[in-house]
Amino acid sequence: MFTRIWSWFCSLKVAIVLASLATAIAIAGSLLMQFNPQVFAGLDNYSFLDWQRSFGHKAPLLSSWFYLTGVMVLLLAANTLCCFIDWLLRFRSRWRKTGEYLIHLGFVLVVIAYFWGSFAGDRAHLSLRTGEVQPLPTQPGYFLRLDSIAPVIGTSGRPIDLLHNISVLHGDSIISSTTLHANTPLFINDATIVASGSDQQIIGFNVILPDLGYAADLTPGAIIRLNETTDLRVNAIHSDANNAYVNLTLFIAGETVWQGWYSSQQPVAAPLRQAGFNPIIRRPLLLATSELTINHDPGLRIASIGSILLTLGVVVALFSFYAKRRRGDRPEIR
Amino acid sequence: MSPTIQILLLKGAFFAYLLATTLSLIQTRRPSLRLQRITLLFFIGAFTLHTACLLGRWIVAGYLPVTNLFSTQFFFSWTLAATYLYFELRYRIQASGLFVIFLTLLLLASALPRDPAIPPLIPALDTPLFTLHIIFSFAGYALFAMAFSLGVLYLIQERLQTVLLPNLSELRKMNEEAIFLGFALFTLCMVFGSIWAQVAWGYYFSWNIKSVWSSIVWMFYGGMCHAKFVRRWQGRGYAWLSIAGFGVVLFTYLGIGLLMASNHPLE
Ligand code: HEM
Repeated sequence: MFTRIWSWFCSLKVAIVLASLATAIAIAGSLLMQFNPQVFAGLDNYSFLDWQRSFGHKAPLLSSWFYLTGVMVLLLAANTLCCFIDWLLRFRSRWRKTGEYLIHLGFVLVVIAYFWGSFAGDRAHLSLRTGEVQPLPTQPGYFLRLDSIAPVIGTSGRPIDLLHNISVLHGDSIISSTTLHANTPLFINDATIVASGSDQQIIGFNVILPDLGYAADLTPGAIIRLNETTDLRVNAIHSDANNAYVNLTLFIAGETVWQGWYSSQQPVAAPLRQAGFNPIIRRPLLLATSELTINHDPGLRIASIGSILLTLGVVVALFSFYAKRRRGDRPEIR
Repeated sequence: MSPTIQILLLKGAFFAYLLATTLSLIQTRRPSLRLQRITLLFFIGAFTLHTACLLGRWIVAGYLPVTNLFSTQFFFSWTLAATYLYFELRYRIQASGLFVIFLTLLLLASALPRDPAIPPLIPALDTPLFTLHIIFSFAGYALFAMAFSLGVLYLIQERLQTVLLPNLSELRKMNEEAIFLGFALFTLCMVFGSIWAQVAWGYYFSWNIKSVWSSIVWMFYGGMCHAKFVRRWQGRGYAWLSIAGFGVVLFTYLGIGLLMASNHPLE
């Protein structure tokens, strides 16, 4: 009984049926995927479970091919693993097929790794300003700091790449400094960190204060001395397409006398005006930001081993294919 | 190597292939050992010019130029010619491989009027992973094209039983070899492509139509590596599978680029 079940699991015909089914479903599914980006475009940006929660389960009919293909591939991998074990048990007489069976094991490992990564992995995005330190999602104890961003200018004069200089901190100490750019990610444990873009954030405004005769930077936390007894503290800033907004507190002799918003499109509040604060905004203060994608994939190591085995298997199988031919060992028409 | 020399080499290769093809066709009417040798010499000559042009472009660029339509057509035509020559030298297939040489001619003819200038390499493509990914993908495709042509010939030979074509057993043997080699090289294409995706995007498999179809191609030919062990699929079944498989390849290489938006556009 057991031998019969085992030989069914090791059956080449079952493998061909499963592979054909997986292929047929994937052919139909790939077209559904192409024409329904609202459901499937997120597959690359989220972990499988997050995608399933946000998109997949809302479109069960459209995404059914996806699960079905997954089941077929998983069954095929189980089938391949059984074949591999069956071969291993008879290694003495079948060692000549080592190349072929390394390919089989490589495939099994890559499938296991992909499923593991899809279920236990996580994909996160991080906007990191220059100088800012933020904890690295998915890797407790690790922090990233963006030191600077510099464009690489091509021969045509246009920027062709961006260098994101990043420091990695573990606890309080810097453990490495590295530059992320095209095809150069950062690996921390099983997380791959890729610079996916850059942006600029407004962090304040540079203003002239004509009544007082000097310029100042209005950034959160800045304190501007208006006269010997009067100070102005910037609490927060905000901006939209046309307006700059600054939340301010006015102190006279250490006492709060006014707090509220200054807006570039509205008259200055009387207490501010009387204290000499009639600003003219010169320019926003910008800070470069790195957009980072952090993909935590616990299966990555297994997938790497799988791909090494696939490569090795191909090389060995190329030799053994011709060796088999020389021995006249090939399937004959029966 | 200046563009003028490149074009000269390319034209030389094109006309030498054309001449060799014509001689091959003549031989199907008047088989002669001498003509066979001359034909082979022309093929080798054409391939040498083709290879010189490829090497020249590689040296000038400092990388294997496969980043625009001209370069990919040119490189694909080279892998097709290399595949033909491999089978010709190993099995003396002569006119049986002409489909592959027709494809070579077609690609060269459509590349010839285009600008051979090599575009500067953008950092995203400046990695050996990309080069390996492309080399193995075109090598795989070329072998699948050869398998297609051998499959068609198998079906023809089954009907005609002509001495002009290799016998069924030979055709089947060569077809199995083309499929196995194609699958092996395409596996490497997938491996290097996945590593490249991992370093470029942070994940080794992307859910876009081109990646899904590449996996379908891989799975299909992986299946074919086994089908030869199943009685029902041997011989004629295998020939039909080789033809169907090439349909999948054509859709993956051309169909997606031409019909749909993807992250692997043709140009
Ligand atoms: C997608 C998964 C698989 C891949 C990529 C794969 C790949 C291969 C390759 C490349 C060969 C060599 C063929 C040749 O000699 O020309 C092969 C042979 C073979 N495979 Fe698979 N295979 C897969 C799944 C399976 C499964 C599930 C089974 C078992 C049911 C299996 C059983 C065999 C057997 C018995 C051979 C013949 C080895 C020999 O005697 O030469 N394979 N496979």
